[in-house]
Amino acid sequence: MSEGETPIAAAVPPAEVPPLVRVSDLRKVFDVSASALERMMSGAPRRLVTAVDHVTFEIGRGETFALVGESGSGKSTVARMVVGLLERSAGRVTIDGTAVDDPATPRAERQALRRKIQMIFQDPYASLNPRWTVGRIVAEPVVTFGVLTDSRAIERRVGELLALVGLAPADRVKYPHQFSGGQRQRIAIARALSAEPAFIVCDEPTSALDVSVQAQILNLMADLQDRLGLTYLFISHNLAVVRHMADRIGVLYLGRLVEVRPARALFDDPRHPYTRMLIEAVPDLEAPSVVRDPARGEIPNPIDPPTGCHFHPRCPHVVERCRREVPALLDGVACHRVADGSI
Amino acid sequence: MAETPDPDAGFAAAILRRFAAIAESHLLYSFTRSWVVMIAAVFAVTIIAAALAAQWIAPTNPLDLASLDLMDSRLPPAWMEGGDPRFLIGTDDQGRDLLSALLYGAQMSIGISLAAVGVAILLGVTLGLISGYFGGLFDTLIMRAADVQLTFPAILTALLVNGAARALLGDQRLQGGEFWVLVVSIGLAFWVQYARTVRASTLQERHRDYVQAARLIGVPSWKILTGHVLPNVLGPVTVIATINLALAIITEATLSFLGVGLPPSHPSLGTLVRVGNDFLMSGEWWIVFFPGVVLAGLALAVNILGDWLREALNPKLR
Repeated sequence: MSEGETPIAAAVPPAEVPPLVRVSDLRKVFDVSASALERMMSGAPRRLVTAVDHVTFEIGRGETFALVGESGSGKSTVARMVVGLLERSAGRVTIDGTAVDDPATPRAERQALRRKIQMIFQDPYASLNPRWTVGRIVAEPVVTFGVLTDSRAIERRVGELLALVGLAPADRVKYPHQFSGGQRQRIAIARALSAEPAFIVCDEPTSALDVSVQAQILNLMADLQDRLGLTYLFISHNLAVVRHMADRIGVLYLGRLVEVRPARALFDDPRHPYTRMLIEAVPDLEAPSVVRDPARGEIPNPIDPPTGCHFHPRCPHVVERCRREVPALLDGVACHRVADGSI
Repeated sequence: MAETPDPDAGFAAAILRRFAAIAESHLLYSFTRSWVVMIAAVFAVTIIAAALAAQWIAPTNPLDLASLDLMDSRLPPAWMEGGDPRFLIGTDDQGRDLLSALLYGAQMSIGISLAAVGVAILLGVTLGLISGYFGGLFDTLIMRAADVQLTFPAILTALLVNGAARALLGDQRLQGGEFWVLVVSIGLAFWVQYARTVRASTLQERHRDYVQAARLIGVPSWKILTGHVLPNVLGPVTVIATINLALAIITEATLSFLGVGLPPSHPSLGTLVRVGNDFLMSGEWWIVFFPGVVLAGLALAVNILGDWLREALNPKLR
């Protein structure tokens, strides 16, 4: 890293305040080998999958950072490691200066950190306990963190939150199955907001919803961000959604970041060949007759990834060096050919 | 975290909601569709209600030894020749009124079975939850123990536990404790099914996002287990519990019949059948007949109800 300690510095918005979230050299290796006994009998070696490899990014306060990628690229793995639901194999995540999931952090500080982080899940049918009333679901963080103790104050708070996400305060006595998918996602958002977090990780929050409802939920999230000054890590495979929501975008390919740049720049002038391929493939209503290049090939098997640059088997600009060396993220792009100025 | 809503109140409310949901669901409808189920329900409710009310409706108290008269022993039912109108369905070898003994005995049998199923549920559900949620070595140990126990018939397990308890406590100290020895030995014979079912459901539920959401905000594991996972894995448990109740009644009767259950002075369905068995060959059929009919009928009725419940709940309403 000849450019200095933060290779993506160029992509960080011009803000003097330190970023809220710092993720450095995040790595996750899954052991997918057979059981010890079976390995002993068949003599098969251990099989490891590197799902996330040296992922580094920062998110400024009030910013929306999006991670995009195909399925299997490691987006959700990153999200779950950032919030501490999944153990990291290596790397460091700090939020507001405190390390996430670090045994060295004092208990009280860890509890305070937990309050700042929330998550909105993909499937609103699985993320709400079917046996709990909406009021109890939304109040769970409030009660767990001891924000409010008086039951009437909790009830009032739940009512406010439900109104905030566009539901009726009286809905708190109902059960999740009495709501549609979009309404359930609103309940999940109300729960995420209830303990007043600073940072919300949204793991494909609209991909399980009807297209007609997606825009409503996205607008609600954008509106809440403006009002409450929230910071989002937005995980999605849908480029149209990301374009609508994100300030900056990181493109993941087989667990590695290949391009990290401001959203507008990335869409107007994609530089990494993979990003170009993705953006080429987005349907465009305004230019329906354009003959487009279809995305070639499929994401390789992560158990046996290509050498060097993971993208080289699909890349139209591949040279010998791409097969040998892993490209570093320079100026927000990890590509040998971009770095040497050939594309 | 004192502001957490009282878990007991939550549980009671959950049960109330359950009943409300049952009332408006198709359970009631499917109940009225089958006359077999309705007969079974009427039979089971009648027997259970009569057994529970034994103290008030029984003509005599069979536990009151002073009231017994050996001259009354082995009298046939009232409508037969030699019958005594005081004893509607005859008397047993100790001169007890068979109807009273039957009512008290059914009460004892049902009490033991209910308590035994309670022990099995408590043990099985707890172990299943912990195994499924935490996995690892504990899970392996518990599940292998369950596998081993499944290779024995339940009655053998119950006999084994019963025998061990008797050997350890000795007959002297066991006086009056037979009830609990029976409860524990039958309970230990039936926990495996609950543990396996609950473990399987827990494995599924623990990966659900609502559990992840609770983990994220640092809800302690025991609270996730009792508040989130437990209410979502109890569905199949109610079905198994109903069917197990019938099995527990039979197991108790078998143990008592084999002479390792309650002492002869305490009637239960099993002891009555055992006593009656001794006199069957001499033509005194009523001592074994009436307890036998009640035992078989009750077990069958509860079993039918359990089967119906399983079918009615199966196509998940969610």
